[in-house]
Amino acid sequence: MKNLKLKSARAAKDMSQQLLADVVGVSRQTINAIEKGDYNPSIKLCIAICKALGKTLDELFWE
Amino acid sequence: MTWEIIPVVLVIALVILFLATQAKKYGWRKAKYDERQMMIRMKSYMYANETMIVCALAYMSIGFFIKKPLTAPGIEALIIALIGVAVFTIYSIFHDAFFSLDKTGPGGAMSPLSYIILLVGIVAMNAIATVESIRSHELLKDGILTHRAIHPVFAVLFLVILISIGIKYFMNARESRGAEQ
Repeated sequence: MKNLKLKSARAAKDMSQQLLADVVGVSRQTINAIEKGDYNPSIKLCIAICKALGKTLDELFWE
Repeated sequence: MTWEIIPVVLVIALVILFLATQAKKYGWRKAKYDERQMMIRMKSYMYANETMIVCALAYMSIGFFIKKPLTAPGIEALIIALIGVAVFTIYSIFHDAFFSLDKTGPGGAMSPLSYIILLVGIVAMNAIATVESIRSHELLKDGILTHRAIHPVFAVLFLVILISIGIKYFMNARESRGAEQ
């Protein structure tokens, strides 16, 4: 299932996939895979993404 | 006979010199992969292992029916190992888990460009050796692949890896443009 909430939160912050990937220390393809729903990130990575985008886990990763 | 070994020693010395220069430039750092890449690399090892087992079983089955050996001793094992390497590498490349996060080569000491240059060198040398082996009729002896059969195998394997890197590079460039739009 696509993670549109993550994509829109990233777009709202005017961040590219590459920039977000650099901030959280993963590859751009990993961010792309999370947004496309191809990869389920670990809780550690979820928290890092939330901190980078100024969102909570519920806002980005809860249905 | 002894003078024939000189080019081999020279090539090995050149490769060591190239690697040492790269290591000095980039340092022998440990390649860093993210959690998704680590998972993909683990899967790649698994698929490579399974492929090698299937190849070994297939070769053993063939050997059961055809009593005559197909290759010189040791060549079949090397070919099976190289098939495993190919599976691991290609799966990793197409899942973006081959080059590390800091864009070094798989060993962590080379940039992708240096790695590609090294691969081109290996392909070229083995292609030349293959042509030479065919010309001198040394590839087959009494219907058995000689040790020289390793040259075309190396050439094809590294060429396939090079092509995979090229295809993935263009796929990523297109995907990256799409993602930013």
